[in-house]
Amino acid sequence: MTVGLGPLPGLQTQEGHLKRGTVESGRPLAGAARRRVADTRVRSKELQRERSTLDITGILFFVLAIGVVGAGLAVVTLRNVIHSAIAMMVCFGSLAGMYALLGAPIVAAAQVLIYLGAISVLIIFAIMLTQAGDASLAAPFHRQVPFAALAALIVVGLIGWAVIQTDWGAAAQAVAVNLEQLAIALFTDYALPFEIISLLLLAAIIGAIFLARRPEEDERAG
Amino acid sequence: MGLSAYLIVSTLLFAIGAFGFMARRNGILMLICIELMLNGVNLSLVAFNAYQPAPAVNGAIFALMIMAVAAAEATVGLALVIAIIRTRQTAEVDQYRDLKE
Repeated sequence: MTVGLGPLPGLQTQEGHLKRGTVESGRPLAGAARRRVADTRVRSKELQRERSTLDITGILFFVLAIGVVGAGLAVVTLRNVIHSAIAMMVCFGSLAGMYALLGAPIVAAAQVLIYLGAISVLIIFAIMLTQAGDASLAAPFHRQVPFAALAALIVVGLIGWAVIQTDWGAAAQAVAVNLEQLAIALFTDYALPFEIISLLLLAAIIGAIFLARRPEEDERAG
Repeated sequence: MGLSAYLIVSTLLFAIGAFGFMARRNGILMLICIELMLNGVNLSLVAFNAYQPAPAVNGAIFALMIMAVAAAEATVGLALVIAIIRTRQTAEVDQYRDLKE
């Protein structure tokens, strides 16, 4: 079985056409403005609108970024584990907003469903099942905190430096994900990984049931 | 906002998760921090996908698959932590020193 990256050639042109249509009708951006050089009034109006879109996107980005990073810091610094779990939910929700801002609503929906809906509830259940009183409130950190902080700062410094130094050759604007194209790719090019993931989830369910079973139930059954 | 801004946020989230994983003593909180790191990587994948010069879907598909793997990881990880807490009566990972003694 071949797991190639490119879709069928005929499909690609059609999809590309579809894509361009959606983007232009969805957002009046620089491409549309540039083509109408002759009519300067229309052009200035379009540019103005573009600037206001950019401003809203920028404000949303900063609000969501503060949500992500602030809630992430709250997760690692709050003493009570249940507070950390709630901060984690805020962080995941802000991330979903960021995915929507990046033009990937399907990823945002999956983020809300899987992380906010499933994993957060699982983690909060686990905390409620296991925390006896406030035993863990006394000393939430290891003695190795300085080294951990140093390692994290080195990671931020190195990757941040690499990000800023690199010329990514990226598009000026985020391009929305075409849902139809994504579905076709998921069930043709990525069909094998998709099936393997279903197998992995089955194995995880069986493993979790086996691990979380109490030993007494084992004896009673046997 | 450009690609770099999203990548910086993703780097910060990854580093926060790594710091929490190394610094906190609670087993469940360490799993939460692993989720933070995975989310940081996911954000970078979706951002790369959105800012590709040609329209693409690969990054979004990778992100969706990482979410599925993260769900499996969280399930098995929490089951393990609950089993260990049940036998050791504590969630603090530095109390698990049977192999050392």
